[in-house]
Order: sequence, then structure tokens, then C-alpha cells
Amino acid sequence: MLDLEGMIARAEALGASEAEVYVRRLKTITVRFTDRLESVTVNSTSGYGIRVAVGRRIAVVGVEDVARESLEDAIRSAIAIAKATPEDEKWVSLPRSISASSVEGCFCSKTANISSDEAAEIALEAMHGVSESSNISRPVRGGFEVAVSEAAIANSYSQPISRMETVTDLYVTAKAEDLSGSVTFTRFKICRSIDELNARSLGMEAGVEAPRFLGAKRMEEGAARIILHPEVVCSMMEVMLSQPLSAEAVQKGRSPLAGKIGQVILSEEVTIVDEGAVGRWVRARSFDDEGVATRNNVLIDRGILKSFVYDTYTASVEGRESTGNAWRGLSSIPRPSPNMLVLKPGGSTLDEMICEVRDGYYIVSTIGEWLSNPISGLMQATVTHAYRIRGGELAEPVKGSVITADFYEAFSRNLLMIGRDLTALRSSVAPAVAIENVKVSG
Amino acid sequence: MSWLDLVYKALDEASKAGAAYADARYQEYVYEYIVVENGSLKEYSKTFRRGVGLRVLLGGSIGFASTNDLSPQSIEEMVRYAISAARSIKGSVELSLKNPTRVRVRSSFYENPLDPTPEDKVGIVLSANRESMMEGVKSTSTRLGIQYDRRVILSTDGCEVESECFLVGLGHMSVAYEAGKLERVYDSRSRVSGWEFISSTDWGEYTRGISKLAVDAVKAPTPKAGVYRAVVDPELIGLVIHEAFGHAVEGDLVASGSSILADRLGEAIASSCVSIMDDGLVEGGYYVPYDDEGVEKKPVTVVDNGVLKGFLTHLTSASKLKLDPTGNGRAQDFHSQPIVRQTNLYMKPGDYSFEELIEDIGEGIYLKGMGAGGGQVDPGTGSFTFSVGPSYMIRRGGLAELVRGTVVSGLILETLKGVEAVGCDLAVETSVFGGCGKEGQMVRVGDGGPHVRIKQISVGGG
Repeated sequence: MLDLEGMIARAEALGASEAEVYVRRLKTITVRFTDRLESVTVNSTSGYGIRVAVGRRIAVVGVEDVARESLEDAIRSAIAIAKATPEDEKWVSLPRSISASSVEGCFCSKTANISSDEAAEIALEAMHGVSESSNISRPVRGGFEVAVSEAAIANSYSQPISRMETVTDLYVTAKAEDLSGSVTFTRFKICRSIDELNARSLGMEAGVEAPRFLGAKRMEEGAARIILHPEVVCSMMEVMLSQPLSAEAVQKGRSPLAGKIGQVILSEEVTIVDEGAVGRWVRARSFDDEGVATRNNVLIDRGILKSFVYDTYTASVEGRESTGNAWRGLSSIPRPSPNMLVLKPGGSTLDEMICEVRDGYYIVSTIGEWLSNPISGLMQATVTHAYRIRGGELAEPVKGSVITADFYEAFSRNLLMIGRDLTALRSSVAPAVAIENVKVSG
Repeated sequence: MSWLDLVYKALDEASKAGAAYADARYQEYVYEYIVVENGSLKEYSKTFRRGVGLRVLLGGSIGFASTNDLSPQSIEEMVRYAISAARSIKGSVELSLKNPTRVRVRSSFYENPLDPTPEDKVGIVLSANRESMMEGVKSTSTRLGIQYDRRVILSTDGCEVESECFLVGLGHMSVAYEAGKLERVYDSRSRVSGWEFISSTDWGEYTRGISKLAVDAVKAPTPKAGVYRAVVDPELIGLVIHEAFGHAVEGDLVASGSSILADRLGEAIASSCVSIMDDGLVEGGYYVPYDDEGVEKKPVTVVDNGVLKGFLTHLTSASKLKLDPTGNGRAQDFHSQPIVRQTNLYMKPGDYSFEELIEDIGEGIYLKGMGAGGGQVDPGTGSFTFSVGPSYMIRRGGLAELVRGTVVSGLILETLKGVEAVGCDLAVETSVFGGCGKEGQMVRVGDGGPHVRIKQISVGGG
């Protein structure tokens, strides 16, 4: 990697009053498979994000071309753009000091040093898991990836700091087929280390579950009690809360939570913490994308809205400190976003929840939940895999309907139970949740 | 040593290491992005990207590696990684290799969109944003995107295809507020073009139209949830056939058995008035004269009068399905392997006027794409869902009240079989701000069609 301090000095010499260089090096090994191994890919890339201020005129240039002359061009381009843009009256400064918090468990050296052969072996394990699970299931699609990343940052006020992380993920899609037709079912896991993956058992889960959805019928229209699988809760929580909890959305009038700090917005059963400093979550890190140390922030405490998430810019607007939530692409300005939303577990097992719901649906997977509207609070998703619940037990499979609810009502007066077992997706962690008065249509 | 010499050397080394076939993709990419929010410049950023990816076929297995460090050492390391990747699996992959092509192509433009000054570009976005402010509008955001993409595909069997493309566009979002309710309407217009598309369009009129729609929509009711007879506009029918149907004809999904259309070539799978094309050069769409495997992208008739006629393929899936490659092997960038992607999938026009489409509907809905937020499909179960923008109810054969945006859903084949009539218009669109995601890769696509009447579609309501 080139000398960050040298690049900052170069930007300052060309006219920047402040400069920041963010550098990211990434190596990934990816295995794709269907009913056989299809390919192995090894990617290596380095990129630089250069942010400059000329007074209060700001520009960002990203460059994924490590030739020295390309970096010089990028610095010059950033200065030229900054000089041409109007002043941002709200601009205060880049972070005045940068530092890292102590976050354990973000890096696994065994995972970082995996070979192509070992990666292919893990994918094979997942495929074998599907084949062994049932005589009517077979693997049809899947991918295994290991990503090893190194990030470093420096600015006009501080020396460089760096961090290293590993992330590995696996998805496997099983197809079950009999005389009644066919159905696919996908299982996914993301974590820090290949030792946590257990590829064979993930494959088996996909292979065991898929046949259960053969012959799924449409759901009945009307209001229903439902249990959402933890992965569906994670997806919903990301869509419905990530943006509204961002100080940027609040300041721009695009958050339904604006002005509600200290108010009850959800049930007292609901506590949501942004766990940016818990190393086992894959979006946790020791410092954010502008060099501010991360921490764990309670955002919703027993139903009461406690805080939004801030980067340096949005924090400056309100005269406060960043919460360590800046995220950026190499060529985009940092923006505040939750690091890892964690819905704290309740005390119920899935069986207890099914028993309590008695008559309703257990929604295992959905598509299109990202089409929900976080501004209006309208939460919706199309069900691809679900079970009818009859007499407190799982009954026949169902699919194909749209479920709709107001998110804030679903997680307050319509909330029945919160499960105790957590599942992690890429940017959130949640247990299963049971809610009532969910509209089923279509 | 130039990058071209280094890449040819990499292909040679791959052959010497035992590769039966190898291809390399060199890419230069520039993306310029300007965002103005509520009258102030929020972001001006620029991306430069350059690198190369190498794919090898060795012992029936594919290995792939890439780097953005074009030094001789890094290129050598890339070759070693690709070879060891291929050796790590025991495969039986075959590529349906074509006659190698040597060609150089470029999308047409008059003024290079990277040339105007930063001040000129910022001025256009600021002006378009200011024009959108009106009573009832709480927040606005306008963005300009300019993309330059140059790709050179070289292979051990003599392929040398170079393509260059400019894509430009402007997008705008208005958020309207009324009595405690917020409504967000976003839309964008993009063209494969030079700067002339930006400089010759009245963007103030465009952004005012979006604000007006948001202000009207926030006061509108949400349509009652239920199943409706519907007329779907070209923007939305493009999204429907892309999401609900296009993915199911992608040859890799077909070959792996994860599409509901596998083994159904020659069957009537849609209403007889439905014909669907995938065309890399259709007016309004993205520019794909050749794919990322150097195969010429020829128009493919996917559905002809309701009968499934073809799948979209790349070299691997064509071999598995024993079909010809259709030029649909596309990669996001030099870091990604080509997988089967749509180019510009659209429904062919029929002969109904808009009035004829709605005149027989007692109660139905006219579903509009402006303000829609995309969609998703599960090709294994056939379920799809997509959002629609502010739309109109249809009553007694005429357009009635405006209703807020919502979500519609259905099952792919039921919906296509339910197409009752097809309009005589045609519009295809692409976007410089988004595209289609698959297996972690995003590529630019286009889609569209005419106005279409569908017997029944589920509307989610609120």
C-alpha cells in the first residue's frame, strides 16, 4: 500500500485545507456450485477513497487502480471538483482525532489463510449435506465465500490506523421433487470463521426443509396471527429501521422517528442495540469508515427511542460526537448507518410460540420485504415458504400471499411474543417474533 | 510492458500450465456522480477503476482470478491463482466455443459526457432540484450519473473484442407531506448517449412532474387489497417480465433445475398474445453488442405468441443445454465471472389502443411504474413481487381516482397466461443508477414493453 501520509501531504500541497485517505485491500475466494462444483474464483483488489476539503467545499474520488500516476490523477481530480462545488455551510471538519476501540474476534487467521482446495472442500460438504438429508432433495445452487479485508485511514489531523477482518458466508439451495411437483429452499449462514460454518449441517437443513414445502397452497385472505422466522425479522428490521434510525434521514425530514427521542415507539418487550463493537457480528469493526472508534449503542430501550446513529458530519450539525457509524464506498461520502442492529431475545422457544399462536402461520421465508416503506411504516413481504399453524401445531405448507402490517403497531400492541434463539444475517441479528392482526392478501 | 502485452503473456502462461482454454477481460471504468438535496450540493464523487480478470478451463474445471494491480508480478500471481483454483475442483465443464471474433465497437455520442466542467454539471443538477420545490414537498433529492465502460475480451482461441459505452442519466426523488403522512416518489431517466441527452432535456419540467405526483399521491387513498383486473404501463410491464419471467429463462438457472421453465421449450406458457424478446441493441435499452465472453449478442425470441421458444445462454450453459450461445454471458466487472444475464428484455407490442385496453373494465386498476421501487422473484416457486408507483383505479371503462403506491404479487405463469390484450405502444428504458443483481453481481439492463391488460393480479394494499 502506498504511504497514506504522503498522499495527504500531496493533497494539501495541491490546495486542500483538509484531506483524508481511506484504503481498503480485499482478497476473496469464492466457490460456486450447482449439483456439482462449478468454479473457484480468487479476487485481489486495492482501492483508495480520497476526501478533500477546500475550505467548506468537499469532494470525494475513489480509485481502484494502484498505479502511482493514477493516484496522483485522483488527488488532482478531487481538488478540481472541490474547487468547482458550492460551499457546504454545515461542514465543520474531518474527525479531529481518529482511534480504534478494542473489538475481539473480527479476524480468524485460519480462515484468512484458506486455500482454493479447502474452500472447494467446504462447498462439497454443503452439497453432500443436501444429498444425505432426503432421497428427494438435491443441491441445485450454492456459493461459499471467504473475504479477507484490511482497511486503513488517515487524515490531516491524525496518523494512520488499520484493522483486519475475515467474513465467510455460505448459501445452499436444495430442490425437492416428487409427483406433485418441485420446490426449492435456501439456507444461508454468515460468520467470521470457517470453524463456525458447519457446511454439512447447513446443507442438511436445506435438504430436510425443501420437501416439506411440496404441494404448498395459497394462504387464506384476512387478518392472521403469524410467527416470523428470525431471518425474516432481520430483513424487516433492516428495511424498516436502518434508514429511520440514521441521523441523516432524521435531519432531512425523511424519518418517521424524527422528534421522538425519549418517546415510547414500540412495546416494552423490544430492546434494539447497535452492536458495532461485538466482534462476532460481521459488520462490527474497531473503527468506522472515517476513523471513529465504534461502540455499542442502545437505540431503543424497552420500547423507548434513545438515540439515532451519527457520523462526524451529522453529529457536527447537532453539536455532538459521532457514534462511530460512518459507512462509505471508496468513491462516496461517508454516511451514518447502523453497524449491527440486534433485537434482544425474549424467553420463548419456537414450539411455545407455535402453541401460543394456535391458529395462524409460521412464515419461514419471504421475498420483496425490501419493498416495504420505512417512511410510512408500511411493512410488506411476499411469502415463498410458510406453514399453516392449526391447533397449536405446524400443519400444511403454504405460499404466495402478501403479508402487510404497520411495523410500529406490529411491534407494539400487536406483538405477541419474542423468541429466545438469535440468528444473524449480514447487518442484523434477531430471534423469531409472533404478531397478530397481520393482513394476508392475494 | 503495456497492459495488452501483459494480458497476452498471461494467456500464454495459462496455456503452458495446461489450460485447454483461457480468456482475459481488461476493463477501464469511470463513474461520476453528483447529488443535490434540498437545494444544496450533497455529494460530488468520481470513481476510476482498472484491472483484469483471467478465466481458465483446465481438466474440465473453471478457475478464475482477478487483480487491479497491473504490474508483471501481480499478473503472474493472478495466473497462478486461476490455475490453482481450477485444479482445486474436479469438473466436467464444457464451453460451447464459438468462432472467435475480432471487432471494436462503441456506442454513439456527440459530446463526451466526461468533458463538461464540474461547474456545468453541478449547475444542471442544482437547477433541476430547485425547480422541484413546491408547496407540500418536504424533501427533494436530485442526482446525475455518468458512466464510461471500456472492456476488452481476449482469448486463447483468438477472440479480441473491444467495446466502449457511455451511459448518462438524471434521477429525482420528492417526498411530500400531508397530515402526518409522507409519500416518496422516485424516478430516473437514462440513455446510452453523450452529454447531449443531459443538455437537451428540460429537467425542471421533469422534476416538477415528480413533485406534483408526490403531492397528489400523499392525499390519495391506498387501494383496497384484493385481486384486480389490471392495465399495466410499459415501465411496469418491463419490470414484471424482467423479474417474473426473465430470470426463469436464464440458462444457468434452467440447466441447474432451479427454474420453473426447465424442460418446457415448445410449450404454451403464456397467453397467445404474449411475445418476448431479449435484444442487446434495442432503442432505449443498455448497449450490449457483444457479451463478456466475446459472443455477439443477437436478438433472442424467448416467447413467440405464448410459446416458450428459447433460453438465454452463455458458453457454459449453452453446452449443458445443448443450445447455441446467445451472447448473454455478462459480468459486473473484471473481478466477476460471466454468468447468464438478461440484456434488454421486453414484450413486443400488439394492436390495442390504451382506450381499448380499459374500456371493458368495470372495476380494475391502472398500475404505473413511475415511483416503483423494483421487484423480486423466487424462480423455484414462481412467486414474484414488485412495487408500483402511484396508480389509478379504473371504473366503468375509464380512469378514476389516483391511489398511492403499493405492492403487487403473483405467480409467474398464472400472470402470463392471464394477459388478455397487448397495446400498440412500446417503450424500453435502462438506468445509470441501478441494474439487476444476481449472485452478488450488478449489471446494467433495460426492460419495457407496451401497455398490457392482465386478467387478475394481487394488489397488496395497506
